[in-house]
Amino acid sequence: MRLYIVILFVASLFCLNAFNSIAQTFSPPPLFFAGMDGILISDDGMDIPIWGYGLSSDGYITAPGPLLEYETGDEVNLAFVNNSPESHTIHLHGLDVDQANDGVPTTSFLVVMDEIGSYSFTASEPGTFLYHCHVTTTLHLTMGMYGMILVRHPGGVLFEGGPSYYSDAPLLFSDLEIATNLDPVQSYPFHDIRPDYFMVNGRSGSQLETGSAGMPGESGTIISCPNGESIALRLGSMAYTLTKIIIPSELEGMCYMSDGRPVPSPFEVEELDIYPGERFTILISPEAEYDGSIEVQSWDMVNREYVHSNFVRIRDAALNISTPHIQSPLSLSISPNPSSDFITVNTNDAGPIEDWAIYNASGKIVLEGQTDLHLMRVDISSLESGSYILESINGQKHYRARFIK
Amino acid sequence: MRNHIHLGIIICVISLNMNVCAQDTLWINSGEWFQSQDTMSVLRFNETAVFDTSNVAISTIADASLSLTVINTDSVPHNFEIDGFMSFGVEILPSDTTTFEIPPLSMGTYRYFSSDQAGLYLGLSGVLKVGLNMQNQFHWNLADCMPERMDSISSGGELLDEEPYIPRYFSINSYTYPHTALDTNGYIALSLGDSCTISIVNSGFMDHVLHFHGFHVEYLSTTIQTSRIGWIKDTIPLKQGEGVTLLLIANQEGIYPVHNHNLIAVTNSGFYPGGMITLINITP
Repeated sequence: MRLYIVILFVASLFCLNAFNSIAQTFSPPPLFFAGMDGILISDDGMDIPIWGYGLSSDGYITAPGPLLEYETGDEVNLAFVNNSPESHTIHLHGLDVDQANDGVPTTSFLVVMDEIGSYSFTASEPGTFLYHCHVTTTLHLTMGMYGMILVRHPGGVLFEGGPSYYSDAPLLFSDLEIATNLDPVQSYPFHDIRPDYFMVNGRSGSQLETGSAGMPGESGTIISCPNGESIALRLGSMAYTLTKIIIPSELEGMCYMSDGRPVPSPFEVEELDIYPGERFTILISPEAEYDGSIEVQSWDMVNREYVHSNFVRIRDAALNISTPHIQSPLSLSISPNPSSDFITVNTNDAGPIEDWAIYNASGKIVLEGQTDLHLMRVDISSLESGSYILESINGQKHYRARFIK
Repeated sequence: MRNHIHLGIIICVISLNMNVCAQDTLWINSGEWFQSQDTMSVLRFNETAVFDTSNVAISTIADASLSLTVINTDSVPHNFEIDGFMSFGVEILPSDTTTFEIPPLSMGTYRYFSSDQAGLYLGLSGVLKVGLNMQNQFHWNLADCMPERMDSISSGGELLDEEPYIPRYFSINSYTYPHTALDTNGYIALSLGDSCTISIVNSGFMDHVLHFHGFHVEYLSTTIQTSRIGWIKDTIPLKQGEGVTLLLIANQEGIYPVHNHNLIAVTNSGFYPGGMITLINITP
């Protein structure tokens, strides 16, 4: 059965129409892939090589990898293609999967170059979980092979009998040692890895408000809170450092869960230590017109020294001017997708396109222009094969959509 | 010695209302610890005068005092403490014997150790289990070390504050992976449906964090992060000097790693895999 599903996934990659018809019948989960040729653009514009995971439909990898979202009780089959020259796995951190699906090379299985693996499990408990490669873990993690998993409980509550909340804000803390990422082949020995770049959801410093360097208009990790509603901070660490979270008292932070289980007695939290591999779920309830930040401190685990702070902006949605949502609305539609020569861009009645630009996977503009139309045709024949983001700017509104050539 | 402890426990259980004390004896021995490229002079608390590379775990009953005799076979004096609970001002002189009366402790896991410089840096630190009655019990004594620093101490030198601490070995009960599979006190072998307690102390110079594959475990006790008692987690931080007791229920078959998730600590002198990795093996 597992092999049959994997074959369907692979076939779908090469036949979009077939994929659409399959999707109408049983909604297959996304196909994952691993790569070793990604770039993370640092806060100061440096290109840092990464390894990582991506969705085959996107065609590129990121660090962290895509957020995987399930609902309590889901029977999950996570297919995984290794497009890289080294072997990889996916360890489903905290989901208590059986040995065969544990992602540890010596007790489970390796996915070697150009092969496909598949991980099956039941998302039996709601909560915040992680995933990462478990091959030469010390190296593959600092290179970027990790991500977060959310298992939501039905009914808008954290868990059965737990508090209700408005929306999730996943915050994955991680770090890397730049010298190791620049030259992983010479990275031995591993005991002296000391990270010197610190991230929240793969971003650092000003990127947390402005978006990635080279991607103007992409919203950063700004959490927008409608007045009176609770936001669930889904906190997890894939760092080598200790993460210390400072939550302003006005946010009335309450911790309800850790490591995918409710804590026996929820507690108020203004400061919290999150060690590598730990997860916490904290509800915050900002008052009207709140505009502040959560401080994310990184501390060296060996010498207990403070090394860095990032800030995650929290503000009342009524104060928002542009697009301060965790996930930007993708109001653009692009067809056909993939395409080799022309694409048609439609704003779906969201107004004229006005200024537009196409970014490659490294965040660099490769095409741009202006129009006052709602619908336009763009010649992409000059672009190399790959994944791109088209952004349109209509006044203060930014819309983005991905396409593949 | 373990038989003596069990006998002591039985006597105490029978005579709870009589406030009978358990009795135990520890030897401070010096010896050598071999790890891949390095041979380190170390000190250990052993149950006999014969050097063993692992510090012995002591068991006693809850809420009853313990009379503990320590025999120092080393050439320098050492002291004796229970982390966060008691510090005895008495030194045990070389070739001397001292008896300590440890007052009643509540159920849990504690770190006993010597806080003098040689004791601290050469590994005199062990697990004290109090009031744990489950049939299946395991313990993990976590440690990290920098051979160069140990060489300096064992040769009578002084530590320089400005020298950075760069640990190269990370051990459980003085075993490093893959040799942790040989440690019957740490390698968890159970049958499906069994339960066990795991007593953990952090004897290292830094905080550690252990991640369980395949299982969540319940905090039964902790000496520092006491608000966590009753939490069910898969990733367990241990602050320096902390003692933690966990309950594991073997609810699925298979072999699963437990490892430090500060990934510099799953190496031996920088090479992966190594260090603080052990296994849980659940058979039908």
